[in-house]
Amino acid sequence: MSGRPRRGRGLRRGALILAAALSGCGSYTSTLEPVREDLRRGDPQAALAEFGGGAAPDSAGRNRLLFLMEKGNLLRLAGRPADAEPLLLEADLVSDMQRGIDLSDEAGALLTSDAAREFRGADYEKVMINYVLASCYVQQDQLEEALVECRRVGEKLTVLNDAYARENVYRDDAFVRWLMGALFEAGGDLDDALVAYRNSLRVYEDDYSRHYGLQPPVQVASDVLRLCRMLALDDLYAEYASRYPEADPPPQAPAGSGQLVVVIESGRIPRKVERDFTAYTEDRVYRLALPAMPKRRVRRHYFDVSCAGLAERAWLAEDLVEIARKNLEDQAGRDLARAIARLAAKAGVSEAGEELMEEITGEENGCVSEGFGALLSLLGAATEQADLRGWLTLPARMHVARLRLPAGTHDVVIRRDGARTGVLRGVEIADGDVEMRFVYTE
Amino acid sequence: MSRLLAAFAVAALAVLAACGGRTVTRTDTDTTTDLSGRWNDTDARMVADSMVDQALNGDWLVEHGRGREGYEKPVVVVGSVINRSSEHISTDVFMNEIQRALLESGLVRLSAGRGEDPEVRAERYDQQRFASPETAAEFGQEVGADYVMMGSVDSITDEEGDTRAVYYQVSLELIDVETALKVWMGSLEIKKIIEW
Repeated sequence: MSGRPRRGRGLRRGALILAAALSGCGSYTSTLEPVREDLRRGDPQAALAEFGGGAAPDSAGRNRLLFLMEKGNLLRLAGRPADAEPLLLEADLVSDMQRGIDLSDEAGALLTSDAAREFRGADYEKVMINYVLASCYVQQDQLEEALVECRRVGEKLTVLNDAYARENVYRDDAFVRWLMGALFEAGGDLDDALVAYRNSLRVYEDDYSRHYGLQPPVQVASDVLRLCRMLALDDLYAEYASRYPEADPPPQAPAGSGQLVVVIESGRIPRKVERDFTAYTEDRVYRLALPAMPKRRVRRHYFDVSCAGLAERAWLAEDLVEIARKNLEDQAGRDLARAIARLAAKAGVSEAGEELMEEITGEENGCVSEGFGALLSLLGAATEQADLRGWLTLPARMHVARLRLPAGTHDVVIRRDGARTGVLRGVEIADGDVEMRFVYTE
Repeated sequence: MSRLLAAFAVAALAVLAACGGRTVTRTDTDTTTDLSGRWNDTDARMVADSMVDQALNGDWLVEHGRGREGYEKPVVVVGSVINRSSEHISTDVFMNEIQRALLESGLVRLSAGRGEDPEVRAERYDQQRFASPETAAEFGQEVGADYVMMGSVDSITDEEGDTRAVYYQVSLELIDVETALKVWMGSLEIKKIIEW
């Protein structure tokens, strides 16, 4: 009997050593940290080189989707939207094809961890494939193709929502709806633009304020009012004007002017961290590991866009940090259920291994069989890892500014917290046109 | 023994050859190949065949004066075909085929459409500067189009579990440039069921 406490202490020590060894193997989040650091320094070219130089996840195996998402986005950030396009289109196709349950994948994950499963991405990540693609098309002046991507978001979210038994938190994307409105407006389709702006406002009102603490932006209400006025929809104008008295749509654009819409992507989405729970008995170790998003505050910046003596404060259109956090919380029940099933399976394997060894040695409760059961239990605990994979080159937030400018060529200055952070040079504004630009900053 | 070894070697090589590499096979372009379930060459071909058939058998050619004395073949210019679907569809694929079939029918004349005419006009401009006066194309001699052909592609997707239904509607119309009257409208509907 005196050996038992010693075995318990040994197990504890063994678990600690194995866990330390595994953490030293390098998780996806730590492997990608140099890439994120390059992005933080505002050097997407270096980030792309770093990614190609070994930081990339496996490009052909279970992380194929993640590889396509990250590389596609890095190419876009590096100013190569045409090169990013085929990768992101493939990512969308791969994601679309990931259906049902892969039994061998699930069986493998049951005996190791969720990180062994094929990466399928969170719902918001699936939607962001289409947003990133849309921005690539806008940069190549292909507005019709950008609209195709926005429509894909609507269809994708309908399918995702239908697949859940209970109401999904991230059931629509207000920012993508707004972007759709801006694209319709740029293409001269004012009816559809109005519908899209109204849908965007509805999602901000119903979902974003409730789940992510993002109140309906008054600028979206202004867009609705502006379009109502242009389409001479007086009743609708009155309805929205009474609901949003602070919204102040600009007067009809004078001849010889156009609009500049700037989408500012700032920061990087936070990494997931592992939360683990370990329990010991005298000959067994039980460990659960789940992904979590740290609660620490991500600093919020404000942005100003100025040009030709005009300045506009950009409004917060999308808070991906909050969306990602809520999405993870929404998934927590499913993650926990899988972790418990994994725990039970691993415990079963330890017991079965011990019994098998008893049969082989012919010795009940012998040192060899008990030691073998403890070893299996130790391995089960050591292989338990939270799935921390995620699209880590995505921005933390998106801000939007809309300026009305005289037709001509302009230099546009972007300021973060009052300090100059970038300049868009030679922006061509044509009479009556809507020009869209995407800016990436920390 | 050496025979046995040789047989093993051949078998191993055969297995290795079967394991790796990519196979490319030329196939008839009329073959239906549905891989992902998305819009593909078969859909584009169906649209082209159907639209050409509908356009050449429409009453608009008779109303234009076909069969009457002094009849001049109508001049058609191809305008935009808007993609309002949720897929990236290259409308040029079927519009080029439609133009080719219309031209080959000998019943219409085609004018350079959007994207083509600037190049033609640039060439004419260059000829005025660089070609001999006898061979240089003259300004102001373009034949004005009688009709503009334009259209749209729309789609509706419905999905439940592992089954997806996609409905496409491709619409084309001919509009009289002078009167703005629509003289012909053609459409084709395609419905696909994709199961995983």
